[in-house]
Amino acid sequence: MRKTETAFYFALPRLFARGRGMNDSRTEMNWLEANVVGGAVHGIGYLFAAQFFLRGLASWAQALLLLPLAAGVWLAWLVILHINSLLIRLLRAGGLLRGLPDDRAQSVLIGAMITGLAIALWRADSWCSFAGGIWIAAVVINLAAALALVLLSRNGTAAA
Amino acid sequence: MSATTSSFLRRFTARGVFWREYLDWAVRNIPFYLQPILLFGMTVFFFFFAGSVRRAAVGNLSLVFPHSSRVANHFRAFRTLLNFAWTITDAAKFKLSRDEFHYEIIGAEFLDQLGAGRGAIVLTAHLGSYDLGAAIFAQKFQREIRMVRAPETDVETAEHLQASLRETGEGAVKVDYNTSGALLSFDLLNAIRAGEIVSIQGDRVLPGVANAEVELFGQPVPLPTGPFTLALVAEVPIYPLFFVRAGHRRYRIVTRSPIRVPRTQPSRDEDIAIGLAVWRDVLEKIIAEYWQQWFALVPILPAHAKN
Repeated sequence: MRKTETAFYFALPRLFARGRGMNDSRTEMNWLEANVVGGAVHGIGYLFAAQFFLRGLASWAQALLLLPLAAGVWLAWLVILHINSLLIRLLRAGGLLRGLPDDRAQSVLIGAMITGLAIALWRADSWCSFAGGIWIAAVVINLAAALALVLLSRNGTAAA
Repeated sequence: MSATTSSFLRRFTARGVFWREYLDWAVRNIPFYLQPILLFGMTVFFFFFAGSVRRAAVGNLSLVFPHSSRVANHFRAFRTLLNFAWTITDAAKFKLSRDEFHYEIIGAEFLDQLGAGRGAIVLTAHLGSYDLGAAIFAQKFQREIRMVRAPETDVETAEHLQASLRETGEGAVKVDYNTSGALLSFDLLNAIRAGEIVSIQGDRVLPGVANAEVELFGQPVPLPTGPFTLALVAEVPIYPLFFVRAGHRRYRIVTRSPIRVPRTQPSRDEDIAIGLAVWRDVLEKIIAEYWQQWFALVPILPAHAKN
């Protein structure tokens, strides 16, 4: 354990930090990132489940089932994370994702899965398409920021 | 139910080893940004299904907030359990990946004295991350520390915790279990005389362990007298020390001025009572400030314990 200055995990805030001359190394220390991104991931999963299971039900039934659905989605996450860990083992046996630690490999799978759900939401004919659109835009911008960081680092290395 | 079935099912009780092993798996496998909501869900699960833990937390909080309603203390108990979930998760992260944390020190001069001194007693409570605190202390001062803990009810959980502490403290934290036997007292006395630091939790009394009743938050509560007897015999100071959570990946080491237990009174019990009264004041203030991290998840009040 040691004292460190707060930095970020995701590429977009790291790119901003770099632009402002701050520390752009990857850390998992940022409270805001953990809660905002975690909330968005769980939110997209929950909205998708609500669309899938509650669509067509009467409003009172939908309202009644919102809380049990949240518990169901939470349980589903535990199962998904376990299945993902088995999938990661399988992928590694096939030579993929070997350089990534377990949680980063999970992050890749979860990112892909949630983006898939966000696309399904985006194409749905309801207000949820807005949430799906925001997620897709955030992923695209973050990937662009990751690319920019890689290019900037290469240029920096070359200049050095 | 056969003994094998019962032993298997015990793994899944609130204090069973399954949850400790699951936590280790989760820390390795679950991205950090998914943890806040999953931990919240886990806390809801334990709040409803680990009834004895919830009741103990509510009972202990009613000691700190005697004029609050039971509903308010249930909310506080939930907050306490959520903090407990974060605390053990952070300790597991440190053990498995040496993850970084921010930390600040309150009472740095006392901590330096403790680190530099030869033979001392650290008196702490089931408050914040005492396991992580011991490991950090050992690492910071390159000192070995002997930690006296309440024995775990589950053998496998005890083995898991012991292994965790060994890994977290990189071998510098040794664990002794607080039992009624006198052998441990002699062991600890010898360790202190040999210059070691002994860490004891002084907010909870186990059956058969020497104790004296003091007034905590206006209620008679038994507190262990062992640390004071040791300090008196070994002629070493007692350092109150707590390692509390101050936010996301943020901790605070709180050290208070050392308690000395010299021979000044006609009887040894009176000397011990003076030391115990000082500790009572320290404990009352720290619990009042950090009640949401008081993880003595068994009943502290004798009346509650009987129930």
